[in-house]
Amino acid sequence: MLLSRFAENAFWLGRYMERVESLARLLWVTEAFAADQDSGEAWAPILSVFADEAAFAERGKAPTALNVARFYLTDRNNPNSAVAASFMAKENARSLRHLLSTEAWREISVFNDDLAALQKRRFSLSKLNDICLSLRDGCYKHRGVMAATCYRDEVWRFHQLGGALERADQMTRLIDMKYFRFDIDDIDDVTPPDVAWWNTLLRSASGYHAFQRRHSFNADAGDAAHFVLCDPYLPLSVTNAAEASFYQLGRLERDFNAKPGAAIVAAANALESRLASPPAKLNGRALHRYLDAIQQEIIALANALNDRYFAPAG
Amino acid sequence: MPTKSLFAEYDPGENFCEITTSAGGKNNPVARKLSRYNLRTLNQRNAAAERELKNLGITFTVYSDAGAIDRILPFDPLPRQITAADWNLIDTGCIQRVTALNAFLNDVYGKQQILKDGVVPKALVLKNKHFRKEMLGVKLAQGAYTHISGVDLIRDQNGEFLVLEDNCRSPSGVSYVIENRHLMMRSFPDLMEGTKILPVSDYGKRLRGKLSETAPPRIQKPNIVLLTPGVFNSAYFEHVFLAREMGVSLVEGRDLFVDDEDRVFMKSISGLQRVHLIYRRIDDDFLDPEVFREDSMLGTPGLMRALKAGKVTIANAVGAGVADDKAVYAYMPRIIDYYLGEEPILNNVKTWICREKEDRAYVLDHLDELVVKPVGESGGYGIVIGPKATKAEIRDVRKAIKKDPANYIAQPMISLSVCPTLTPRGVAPRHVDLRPFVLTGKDSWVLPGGLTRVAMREGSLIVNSSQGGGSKDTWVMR
Repeated sequence: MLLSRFAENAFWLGRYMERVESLARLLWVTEAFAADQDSGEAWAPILSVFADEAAFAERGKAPTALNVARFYLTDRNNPNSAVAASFMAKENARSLRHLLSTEAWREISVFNDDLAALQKRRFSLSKLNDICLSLRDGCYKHRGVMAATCYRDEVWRFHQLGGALERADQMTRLIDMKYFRFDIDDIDDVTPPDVAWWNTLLRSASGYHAFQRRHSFNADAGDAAHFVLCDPYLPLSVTNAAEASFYQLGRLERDFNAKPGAAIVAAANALESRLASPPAKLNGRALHRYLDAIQQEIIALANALNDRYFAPAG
Repeated sequence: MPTKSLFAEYDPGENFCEITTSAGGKNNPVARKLSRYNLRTLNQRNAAAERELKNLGITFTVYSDAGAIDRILPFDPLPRQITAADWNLIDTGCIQRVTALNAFLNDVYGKQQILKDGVVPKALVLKNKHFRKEMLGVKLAQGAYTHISGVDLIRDQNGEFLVLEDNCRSPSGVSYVIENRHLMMRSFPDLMEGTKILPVSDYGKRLRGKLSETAPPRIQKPNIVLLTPGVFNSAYFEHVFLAREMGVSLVEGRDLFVDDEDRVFMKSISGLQRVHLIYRRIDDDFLDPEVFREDSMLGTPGLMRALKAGKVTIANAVGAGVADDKAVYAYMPRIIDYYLGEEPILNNVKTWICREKEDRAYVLDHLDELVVKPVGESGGYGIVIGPKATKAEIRDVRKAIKKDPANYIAQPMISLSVCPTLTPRGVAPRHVDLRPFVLTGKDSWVLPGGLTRVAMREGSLIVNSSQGGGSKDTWVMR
């Protein structure tokens, strides 16, 4: 029978590794797009999406590509950075170590060491692309080693559950980079992102070619948003990630008698129906608010998981 | 041209060498096989092995402002060997010793006959800081107090194994015994091939089996947990290792809960689950804030209630530390005789007990030749080595002995045996000791071999990992 504490460690190991992966994706998208547009303003929105404007300002540096990228990759004091998330992943894995495969621990440990070494090597913007891709590949490796070696017990289920929820959450944030400004009242002339940005995002989510197969040549930004949010077959879509988390909850109950209880069921249902009924037009302010609502549902579900599995009375 | 032997320039001097003096000297099969390696290969394989230790996390962790740093225990790739005949002696000697230690603990927490008979001074036991009056009259399953014991052995210049110290609380290091073997099998398959060595890999299974024998009455399949202080503890890797090898939960105090009926539970994702046996790796002081230190965040309130009610077994038992005190150690030959009516199979290092008048007089006369140890310290702290001490240090320890004689014992200076060891300047002799691990349930079993600790510095006799010692794989030959 799995200790609550270990369930929480497994859940957060999944979340933190997924967070590193998403960060790599977000920086990659920004870099790829900014390079294309020659736009110095491409980087500031990341700070807004993570509510990091104040923390970044404390460092007294201009929001240039290099400064923001370093802030999110190698700044140990930024809890939202890749190096911090990787450290937290390792610390969760450390508590959980006796329940992980030795291969999984080895991989997490080596990954963390490699990432920690990155901060010493002052990277330039020209290397950002490679760094992001190698980080992403490292996260894929984590998933692969876990899938190939982990016993399919409660630890595995909670790890997958955490990863899936984080994936869903991070995808909404990635899209929101270009949409959150629609909801700020004093900005009335926000330009929606063009097809080029969406193509970059689709590529980063490994969905570009599938999207071309699924949609006619004149598909627009709304179609792309619908695809990334609601397509049930795209591995990185929000719907797919949410479904994966529901599946893990079901297996936890069925295989390990870990009954979810009313609060989790209600929160999962709310998220599921939210994703099943997107607004008619997925653009502008409506899209931002939809993303926001999904994020709120994910937070509610995570809170319910915490109350039920991680912090039970006793 | 024939390749130069690895041992061509190796000279153990006056010391007993575990490879080149033991078992037919340089012609024993292990020595012959080892001598064919060249230094370069050895260094390369050693570097690969140490990298693998780091990657696999076979480490102790040092926390600092810069984050968590995982360090490995230095590993030496040249194994130590023990002949079958020597092992037979160590095996039976350790079992005899642990049997006597358990009998002693049952007695001092029971009828105290040995104290009444004046064999061991009352004050030595009852005023010992590890004596727990809370355990008086408590009946333990199988009478097992020290379920897991470590018997520290050294070997003198004549090759005689001597007991240096007993460890009855939480002897550590067994994970290195097993991991060192795995590492040798990976790094030196050619050396291991065809060499007949007793296996060590079933330790976890044995431990679980022995512990199960001491479960509370009528529990057929006890739920065993390993209680750790947590990831900040330097031995955390060993706790992970043992929980994994036994297939049991690794818990912290906050994961456990004792109810009003004195039953112990752990908090799981499906609610509370009953716990029957706790292999604890935290000290008595921190175990139960209801009874011992109130400020302990590491333990669980109510564990002592559960223990006294017979609803949980705690291994090693609370209060077992009174038996591994250095002052009690001096009486071990008498304790073995008292309970078993036998001569010790493994002798103590000759020990003078400063609380006894004649011994004290001798010690004060020979301070410059003796090693003086405060009792109740561990990890090599507080030791004064006469032949190497300054005049001021001798003066201080003389004063200290006169002031509180009961706090000191003294032993002759013994040169530990040596083993060929890889150093930056080639293969050289370095001093080693040996810690076999003894498991006790209905009866006792000794893990073949044990932890060989090696002082990596030239001439150093201090092998403790807290003071820069490393370890070697230990081969018990079949």
